[in-house]
Amino acid sequence: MSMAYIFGPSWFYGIDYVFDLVSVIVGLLISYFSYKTYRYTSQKKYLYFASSFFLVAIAFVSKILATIPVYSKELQVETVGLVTVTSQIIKKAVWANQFGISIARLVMLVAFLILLLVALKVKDKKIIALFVYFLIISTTLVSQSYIVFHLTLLIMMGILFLNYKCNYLKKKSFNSKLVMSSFFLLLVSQIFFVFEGLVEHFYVMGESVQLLGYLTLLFAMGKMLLKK
Amino acid sequence: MGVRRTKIEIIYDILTAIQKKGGRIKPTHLLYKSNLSYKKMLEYVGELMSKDMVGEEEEKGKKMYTLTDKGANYIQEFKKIKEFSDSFGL
Repeated sequence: MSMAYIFGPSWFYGIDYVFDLVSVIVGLLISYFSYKTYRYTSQKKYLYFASSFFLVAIAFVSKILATIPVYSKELQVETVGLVTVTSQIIKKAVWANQFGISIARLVMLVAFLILLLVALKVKDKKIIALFVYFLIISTTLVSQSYIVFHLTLLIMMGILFLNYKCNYLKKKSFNSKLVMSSFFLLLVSQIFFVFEGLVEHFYVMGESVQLLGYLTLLFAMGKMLLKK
Repeated sequence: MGVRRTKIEIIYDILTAIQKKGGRIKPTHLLYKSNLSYKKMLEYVGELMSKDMVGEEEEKGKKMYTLTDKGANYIQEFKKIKEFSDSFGL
């Protein structure tokens, strides 16, 4: 039987839902404000930016939904008694888990690809096609290895961090510093995720640093939206 | 040569010009402050009046443009949009 995607130590099951939910909220908030800006300005870049953060939120929701069946206590209880029934339940749970995680990874890669294209102001269709080609390749490989997924995200985060660093050096504002810092934290979180297969607690570290990254983004958005 | 302003930046400049004059401004002052041709200024003001962001009043027989609540809200929204856009380098 194929394996389910389970992340980190058992004591962390469920806690990561809360962490990921924060990312969902931040993703939706940025998406909403960017869409509102698009309605005001009619500039497509805000619509694409909104789409990318909306997809980030969708990816986290998919991940949460995909891990519920394999984390759930009901499943563990049922394995004690009815062996055959449990086996069927587990099979279904594993299938749902694998499907959900694959969707989550694909959506996350598409989300950050859109963000990269917007951040780098790429308009040349040939370059966009090349990016999409690399995305398809990495997505195909993602089904075989989580490392490829996190490595792809690591590179994307690295480029985004450098881009936001340049923006901060140009603007020198506190908010652009917060955005740069948040992408630095997201970059560091991906380093932990790449090595989570070696050390179980790296998943906890990765999730914690990622949470800090999204909280920094939330703080930046709060400052922008509450500006008088 | 300065950077060409976008439409929303021009609208912001018009509205803040009125706001800085206490919410009412003479057309000649607005022409000077908005840095537009007379024809363009009338086009923009016409559009802003149709969207209820700017009003028109007579004061001692002279025409004055006034800032409405909707116009004042736009200024606030624009500040947020500008901050958002600058922070993400959009």
